[in-house]
Formats: sequence, structure tokens, C-alpha cells
Amino acid sequence: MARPEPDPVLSPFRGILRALGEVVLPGPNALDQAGWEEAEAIMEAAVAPRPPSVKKQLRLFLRLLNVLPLLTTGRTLGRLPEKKRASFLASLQRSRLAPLRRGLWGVRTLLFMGYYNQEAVRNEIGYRAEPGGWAVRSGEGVS
Amino acid sequence: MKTVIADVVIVGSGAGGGTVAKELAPAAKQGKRVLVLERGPRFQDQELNGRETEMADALYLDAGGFLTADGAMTLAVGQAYGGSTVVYTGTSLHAPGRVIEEWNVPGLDHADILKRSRKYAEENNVHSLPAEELNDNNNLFVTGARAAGFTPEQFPVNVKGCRGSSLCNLGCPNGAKQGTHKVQLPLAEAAGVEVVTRADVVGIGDRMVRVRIRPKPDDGLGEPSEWEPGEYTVKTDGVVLAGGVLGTSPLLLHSGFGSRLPRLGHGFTCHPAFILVGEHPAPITNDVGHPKSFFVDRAVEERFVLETCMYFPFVTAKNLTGFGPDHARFMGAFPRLQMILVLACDKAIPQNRVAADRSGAPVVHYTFTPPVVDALTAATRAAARIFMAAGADRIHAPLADPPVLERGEAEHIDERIHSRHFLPGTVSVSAAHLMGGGGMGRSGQDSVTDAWGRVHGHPWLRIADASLFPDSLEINPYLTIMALADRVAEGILEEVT
Repeated sequence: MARPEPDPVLSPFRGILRALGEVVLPGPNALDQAGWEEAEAIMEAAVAPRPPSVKKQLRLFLRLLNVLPLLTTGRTLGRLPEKKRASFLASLQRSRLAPLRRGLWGVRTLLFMGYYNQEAVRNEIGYRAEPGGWAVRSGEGVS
Repeated sequence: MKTVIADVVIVGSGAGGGTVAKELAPAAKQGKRVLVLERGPRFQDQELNGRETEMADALYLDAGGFLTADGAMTLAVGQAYGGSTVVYTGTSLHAPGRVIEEWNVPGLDHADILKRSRKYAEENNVHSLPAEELNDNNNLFVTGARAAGFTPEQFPVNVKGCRGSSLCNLGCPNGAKQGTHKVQLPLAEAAGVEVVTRADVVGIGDRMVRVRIRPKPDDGLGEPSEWEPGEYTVKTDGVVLAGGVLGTSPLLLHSGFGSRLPRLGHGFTCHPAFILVGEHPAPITNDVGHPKSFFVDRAVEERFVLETCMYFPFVTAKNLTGFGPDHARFMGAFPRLQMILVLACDKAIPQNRVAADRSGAPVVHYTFTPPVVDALTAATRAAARIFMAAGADRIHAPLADPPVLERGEAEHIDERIHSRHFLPGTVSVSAAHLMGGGGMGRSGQDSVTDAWGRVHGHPWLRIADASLFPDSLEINPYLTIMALADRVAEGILEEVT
């Protein structure tokens, strides 16, 4: 379990991150409350050692991401229905503006980090690597 | 500020620094003080638990998330006693003769590199794994490559007692990988060479190194430094820089060497790479067994190399393009996934270079040139054909849009996979073979060092890592780094003994 962060970067953006996570992760219910809390702790711990300039960029991008859909839909990202949220992100992914593509890449990377580093998720997708290697897989080394 | 006197200071303990340290053992035995300053900590094998984020945080620069200046590529650099040799897969190839000829460094010939790299292949137990230890992920690559008309070759690897954890890139939990942390550094220390870990070299001057020793964090992994935390000045007769491409030239630039060495930081190459996955109808062995046992070398013909690989869930998720249900479908099929790493053989160009920011931290400027994008495209098509020939039902190809190719699309690979879909910032590109910045050559006008790693105009200063490569090596670089470091050590021994 990741350590709690004394000066959190992401917690003010919990709502936006969850709105993003509902379309970036396998489905709107991919994580329950405990799962989200674990994901947020993992993401926060990953961001904590980053330089202040990177943290500032991340905060700015999350704010931008939330308000950008206002231009085309009149709603913030958090208020968009799930399908429209997904198509908005898909359009961002193909944006001609490299900073938007890179920003989205960074945020989705964070969300995947928070999700796929959870023990329960790794088990669910069938990932089984462990130090014992072949011996454990064939049952010989199980102790 | 404490002052320490040493005869030779080696910065870095990976393939280059670890090799120099071991080769200077005779000098240490004769009473010369040889110091190795390593940024990372010393880990016990049992601390390497295979947990992805925890290990990335402990073993890699920026937890494995170091980005180029434009944010379009992730660079992987190990930080530990043993440097990146702790986190590579142990693949050990000899430098191609044609590449060394193209480098055209006076005083450097292929026969000499080959002789020295063979010495380390033997010393580090490099051999081909027996067929019974190869997993399905690797065997399917061989089957598919042959059926698709390619010639797969087996990687010699430097393991001893491999249990097949598949966790090589997170540090071998079984101590099987024979990196410098297992072979050269223990031999060096037994002879009296001192290795100081958690040591940040923050500046170098004329026969002097400034070092900051970091304390071990309360809840951090690894052992504390051998020295008390604090600031040190080390006065020395000779300095060997082997802190890797993101260490060596940024340190020299930050220390003011750039004005007299105009090529410093230039010539950066890195074999940009990404992962493709193929989904098979039934489970295969993929996350057990050595992950990287075969490759297809198309460097001469098409400027790319394909390698088998197996990554961990988060790294895999990061590397697949897109998000949502399509992305999740591949991730949910993890036990049925075959993986191939495609690498482009990039060439040194003026735009691609290593710099340092005001604090001395590395900054990497990298532009994906059309030849690199074309090479990645050709590599992606080749990998797609291998997957299809191996029996995969679906493929995730980052240079297709949408990125999923179904089996029925086998005839349309060239249309679907196209360079126009290469969007930096959307396609996850990464690199682990960082080269250049302190290249060998004739003089200070065309290079940073001579063929023996001596920095032009600074007889007390040498480089002994992949910074020396004047251009891309086009294969996995470790044995070649060791061979060049061996030459550096030979030069030092002639002077100090």
C-alpha cells in the first residue's frame, strides 16, 4: 500500500480523476470505493517525488481537461455523460496539439498505474509472475 | 565538507564502472585507493520482490518514468549497486563488425572489442538457455518468425541458476543474473576497491570530485551508504566517468566542460522501442520463464530489431494505445498474450542530444526522424506477421488506428499499419539502450574522447560507459560497454602500476 502524501497534488482533483477513470479504466465500476482510495494513494505517491514544475503542469492540465469540453458541449468533463466523455478523450488523443496528447497520455498512465498495481486487479487479469518461477508454476515449489 | 584522497575515482558501477573497478583490482592490491561512487543503493536479493511500482521506484531513475524534454519518450535507467545491469534481461551480444567500422574511430578495431567482450561473456556466464527452459511466449516467436520468413536467433544471456521468475527488469529476486553486481564488483571489493553507494556526484573539477552522500530514507529499501551522509570532496589523480548516458555528459556540462568540448552531449541514440501484443485463443506460458530469449535482426536491411519480451501489468497497460473497453480486453487476456518489442536502429543527428538543466539534472532532446518512424513501421508490420503466423487471433499494434487488428485482416497489414499513425505523445515509445554524448573520435572538434576513453585535453579524466558510442550500436550494448571499459582500465593500469 502506498504511503499517504502530506502535501497532496491529486486529491483536489479527485472528482475529475474519477470521471476520467470511469472511461479510461475497464468500465465505470472497475473500482469500488476502497479500490479508488488505493488507486489514489498509489497515484499520489508516484507524483510526490516529481519536481514542483511537473506538479504544477499536472494540476494545470487536469483543470484544463475539465473545462475544455465546455467549448464544444457546454458542460465540464465531470458533467458529461460517459459516452461523450469517452469520445472527448478519444478526440484529444488524436489532437493536432502535441501538449494535449502528451497530457492525456500522462493522466491515463497515472490511472493505469493506480489500477494495475492493485493486487486484486493483477489477480483478476491472471498475472501470476513470482520469484519462484517455474517451480512454483508447476506446483513443486509451493510452500 | 570532508576531504578524501584517492588514486582513482570511478563514477558509476554498472557495465562500465563495474568493469573498470574489477580490472583495477591489481592496483588496489598494490595499495592504490580505488573508489567507486554509485548513486543507487546496494540491495539484497530478497528485497527484490517483483512488485512493479515498488521495484521501479527503488531501482530506476524517476521510478522508470524519466521523459525526454518533449515528453514523447520514456527512458529507462537503472540506479543501484551494479547500475542498469541489475535491471536488464542479461542479453549479451557482440558488437557487429560493420557498426564498429562505421564508427570509424582511429585506434579502435572490431577484433579488439570482440576479444575483450568474449572475456566478459565467459566471466559473466553468458550462454544460451536450454530448450526446456524456454516458455511459450518465446517459442511462439520462433514458430511465427520462421513461418513469416524471418530468421530468429537465440539471445545468449548471463544467468546462473535462473528459476524463470520472468522478473528480470525488476531485478532478479533469485540472484541469477550475472551483472556487475554479482561478478565484477564483488571481485573488485575483495581486492580492496571501495564501493560507496547513495553517492551523488554533483560536480567535478581538475582532479577533484564533489560528492553528496544521501541518508537512507526511513522506509526505503537497500542498505545505507558506506559513508556518513554529507558533503565530500575527493581529491584524486584520475577520474573515470561511468554513470551512464544520463549521468556522464550532464555532469561534465554542469561542471563547465562544455566550452572546451563542443561535442559534449551530442550523438545521442537510444533504439526507440515499443511493445506489440498478440492475443492467442488459449493460455500460454508468458509470465514465467526468461522473458527475452530470441530476436530477429533486420538492422542492415530495414533498420529494426524485434525481440521477445514480457512486461508487467502496468507497463503493458501504459504501452497499449488507447483506453476503455478495447484496452481492457487485451489486459484481461493477460495469460493469453504474446509480446514482441520492436526497436528502431536510430542514427546520431544534431538535434538529438543530452544536456543538463541549471541543477545539473539530465535533459534529453530527441526528435523522431522519418527513418526512425519508417523503421518502427516496418518493424510493427513484421511483428504483426509473426503474431498472425504464430496463431494469434488479435493484435494490438500502436501504429494502426484503431490499434486492434483481427486475424481476418492479415492481408491488410501494410494498409492498417502505417507511419501516418505515429503520433508522438499518443504512441508509448520507450528506450533502454541509451548511447552517446561523450563519443570517441579524433579530436575535441569531432568527439569528446579518444579511442581509449581519454577526454580530449584532460589527461586525468576518462569515460567508460555507453556515452563513448559515437553512434547507435544496433544491438543490446552491455558487452560492448564492458569491452570499452576494459580498454579504459588497461590505460589506467599502465599509468598507476
